[in-house]
Amino acid sequence: MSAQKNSLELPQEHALLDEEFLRRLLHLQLLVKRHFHGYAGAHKTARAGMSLEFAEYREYYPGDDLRYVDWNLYGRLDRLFVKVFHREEEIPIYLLIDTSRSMALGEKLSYAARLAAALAYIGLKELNRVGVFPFARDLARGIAPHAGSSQLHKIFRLLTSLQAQGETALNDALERFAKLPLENGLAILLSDMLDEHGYQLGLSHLLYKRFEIVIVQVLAPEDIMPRIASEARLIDSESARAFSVGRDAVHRYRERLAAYEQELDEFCRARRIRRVLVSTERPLERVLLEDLRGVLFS
Amino acid sequence: MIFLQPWAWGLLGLAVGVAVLYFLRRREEERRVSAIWLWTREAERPRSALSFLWTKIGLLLLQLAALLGLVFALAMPFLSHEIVGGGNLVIVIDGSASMQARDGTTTRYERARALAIEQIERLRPQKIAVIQAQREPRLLMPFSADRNAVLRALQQARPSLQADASWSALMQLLLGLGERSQITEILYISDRPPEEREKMRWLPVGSNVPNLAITGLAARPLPEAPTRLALWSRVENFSDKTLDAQIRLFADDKEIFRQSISVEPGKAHHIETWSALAQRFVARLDADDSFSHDNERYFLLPAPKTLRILWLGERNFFLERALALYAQPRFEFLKALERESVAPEAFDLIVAHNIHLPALGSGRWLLVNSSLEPLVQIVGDLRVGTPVRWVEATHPVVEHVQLAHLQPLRMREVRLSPVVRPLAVAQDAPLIAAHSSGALRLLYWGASLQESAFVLTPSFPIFVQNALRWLLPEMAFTADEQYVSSLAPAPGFYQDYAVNLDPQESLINRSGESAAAPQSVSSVFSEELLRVQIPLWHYGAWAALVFLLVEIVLYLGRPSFSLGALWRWRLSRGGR
Repeated sequence: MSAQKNSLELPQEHALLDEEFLRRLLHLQLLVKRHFHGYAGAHKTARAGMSLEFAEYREYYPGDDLRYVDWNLYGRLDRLFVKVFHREEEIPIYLLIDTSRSMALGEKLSYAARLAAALAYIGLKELNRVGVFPFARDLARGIAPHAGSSQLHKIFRLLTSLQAQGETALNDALERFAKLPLENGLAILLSDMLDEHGYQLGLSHLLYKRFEIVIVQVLAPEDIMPRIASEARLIDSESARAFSVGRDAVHRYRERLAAYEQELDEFCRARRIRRVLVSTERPLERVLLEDLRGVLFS
Repeated sequence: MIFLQPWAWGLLGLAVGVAVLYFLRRREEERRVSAIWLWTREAERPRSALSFLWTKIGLLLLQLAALLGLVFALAMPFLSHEIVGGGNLVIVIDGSASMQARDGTTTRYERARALAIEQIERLRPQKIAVIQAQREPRLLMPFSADRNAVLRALQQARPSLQADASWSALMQLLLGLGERSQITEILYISDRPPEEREKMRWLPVGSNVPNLAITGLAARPLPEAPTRLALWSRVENFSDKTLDAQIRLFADDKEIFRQSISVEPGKAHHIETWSALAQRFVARLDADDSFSHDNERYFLLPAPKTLRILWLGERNFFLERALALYAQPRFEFLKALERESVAPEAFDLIVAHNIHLPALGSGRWLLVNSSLEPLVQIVGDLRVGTPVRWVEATHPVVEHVQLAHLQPLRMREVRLSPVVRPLAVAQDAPLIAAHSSGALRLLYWGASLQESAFVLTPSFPIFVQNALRWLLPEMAFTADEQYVSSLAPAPGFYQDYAVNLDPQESLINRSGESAAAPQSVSSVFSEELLRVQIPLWHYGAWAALVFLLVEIVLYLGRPSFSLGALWRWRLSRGGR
């Protein structure tokens, strides 16, 4: 299996990630907490199945495969037990990337694209099916989940070509995605999550369709800690709305942002949605190896 | 307010440049944001007009304030105002003995104290220091703004019986009060003018009052009468009219003499009498004068000291007896000096009488009609003496020696080395000469004692005593006159010496220049308004710096400090 993992070929020409960086990600394993029905893959599930890893014994029931009866145990206990093994399954992974114009600010989109590329690589090396779905106000043309090196090529090509355009409409886009005829799986949402109209409805649609959701909220430093020397004319990157503020508006902005983040956090916590907030000034490697450990990786 | 550099105000024109730069720089920057709905529009927030103004031109105002402070500092401003009083006054009260003289019912010291209080009330200085001037001056009160404390110190001050102030000690004390610039005026209240009048304002006290004083008392052994002493006293009249009094002399507490005297103004009356051997002598004057402390004088005759004397040459009865008056001599007589057998260093004194001696480099020598080459060389025989005159009458060897008593019948013709100082000469021939260098001390008498009446005069024992004191200064043959000090605060007998008032203190009436021209009593406090200049430029500099720092802090970012944050921090630290 590990030979298979390492055999994943990297696209020849891509500017997203270098090979050395990807090699450091080889030992990461996706953490999936719910059961998904899927093909045999690298993701271990608690369901009995065919693998080399012993899970437990259970009593023999008629119809069980006699090859798994432990005859030694029968000799000692005079009762029939069968060996149960872990089943290694592949799960569908959906990378939902926000490509609205606000993602262009502070290079959030390129950061999210590189993060998505790394996640796709990790997912595919575990023989999972990985698909990518960019979205802004609406769902854009994406890549349906498939496994294999060719999928990695397609994903990298798509991620490299992403352009920030359109307004954010998280509820609409996520609803549209949930209604797609897709097998449920792990939905990783890469977005700044800054939508005036909310996100709750869209996330509820995903949950209803039994997707396991992980939100990677990507914010730029100027989103978190904006600085204004004296006065500034603020222009919304999506709606082109504009007005002037003084330096003391920063303080109020930070208060409102904190409240918004708290609301998002409470919403996710209540629905067991895993969420991690990353800043684009933080090195990607540290995000993958440290911040997402326990959230997305075991 | 005055400005030493008023041209600096022209720099305020820079304010225009500052304002232009401010508004050029202050153009709104355009900023794209991810979610404008998280920001609050300016107009949506309720704001006071002042707050709005502050947002718009707050930093400019700070910059202009900094510029104003800087220009203010460069203009060198001084706050100048005239005040009555307000300076620092030093009051120097004479606390010497003469200030206890009475002018009517009050003493001069009491008058000086009243004058000092009066001046404080009139001048109303900001700070006052009080010094009592006497031989050992005292600081009664360092600079203090507490007028009551100063008045209390003045009320509690008492005069001393010491002599007048030593000028250097007084200056040292004045310097100890602080820099000269801190002292606006020094007020000197005394019955005598200060040594340096231009440095202080003198307020004279006292008037011409009668004063008769005992200014001298001495007892000396008599060479011709070993069991008796000669007693001498002097009474002086320091006033401008003839004064009568009665003087009494006491020897070891027994009255031995009493006389009524009448002394003319400015004259002295001498009393010479005899006494049995005694040690303590007191002279008392019963006089009706204004200063009683100088009507008593004390003298103590010390016990004689043992003296090892090498006598070279012929012996002389009178000189031997005279030496025995002041010491217990242990003579060793030699006809001639043999270097190998006698070491001059082993003796306290070497007396050479009618003898020629070779050069010797050390010792204390009394040469009587003798030579000691090359310092004193005899070049001729005795010849008839001519009238004697002083060359150095103030030398301690000839102190109280009368010139008339010195006249010899015949004198030795000698040549003195240039280093030997003649004190008295008859024509060109030296009669008395002295020399001192290193371990050698020499006194020369250039006549034969046998052929002179000098040995029979009262000046002879005085001369011998002076000679012993000068040749052997380390041995106390007579008690030196001691004056009142902090160690001996009153006249009288102490363990080894008698203490008297300094005779100068008896001179309680001003005369001549000091009496005729008392210093003007004008004061910088009273005659002129005091001009006070306070420099203010540093306030401007500091204000400019503070405004600039505040502007920089506000420009770079909102200060994280606030009262609320401080309160929360205190709560988090467990503070109440």
